[in-house]
Amino acid sequence: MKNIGQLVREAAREGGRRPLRPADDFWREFRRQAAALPQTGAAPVKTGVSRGKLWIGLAGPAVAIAATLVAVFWSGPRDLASHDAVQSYRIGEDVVHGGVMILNDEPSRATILWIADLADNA
Amino acid sequence: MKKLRRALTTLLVATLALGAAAGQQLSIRLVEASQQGGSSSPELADVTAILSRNLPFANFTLQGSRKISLPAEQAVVQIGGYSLTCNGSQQDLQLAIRRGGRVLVSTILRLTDGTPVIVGGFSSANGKQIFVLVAQ
Repeated sequence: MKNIGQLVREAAREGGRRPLRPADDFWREFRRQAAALPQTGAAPVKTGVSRGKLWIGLAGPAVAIAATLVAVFWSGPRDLASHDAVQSYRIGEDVVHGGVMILNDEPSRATILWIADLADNA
Repeated sequence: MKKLRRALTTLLVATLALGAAAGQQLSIRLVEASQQGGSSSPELADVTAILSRNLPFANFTLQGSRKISLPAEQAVVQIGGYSLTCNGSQQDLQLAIRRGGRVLVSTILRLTDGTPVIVGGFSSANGKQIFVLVAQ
């Protein structure tokens, strides 16, 4: 088996037997051969993350954080106290009335159970 | 440092215990609502605005008040010709309002400390009668 030194010497001897071409001739031949072959555009370089996935990757956590902040700080209609105050009601069996209303007073969260047109023979 | 920590812990536990004990009384007030002029009873100062906002009456007069302890066990309160039966805690209070021996309305209420629950529409000489219930 030849060692690297022997290979280098052989290559030098080979190179000496073949005359070197001028650089201009080499590149002219290279371009001629390249033009003869069908050329396609450079293959797209994939970075590993598509734009769509990148957008989702950035927007997802932002949306989650925004939703969490809204849930924590939004003091919307949380009048659970008033809405849950009257769990159930029943008007007396033989009591004539015009209907029942449950009113919620927002400022105080008070609940009003109002029996309309109650004929209780006062 | 240990003593201070122990003292603070004791104080915290005592505060929590006091908080848990709050709302152990139910205030029941019988109110007559009318269209007649005049000022409302000063004893109803905490609820006059609520009643005025939501009910079509100009004047609210206190006709009676009672207090019972919560939780109640079939507690019967007589007030202004009505008989109110209360059973349960403020989170689950069964209330039956009777007059003349018959049940006018029965309801199950969840009361929040200091937040009024108002049950009304009962006929009276000058307008309507209302019960104002507040857990304290």
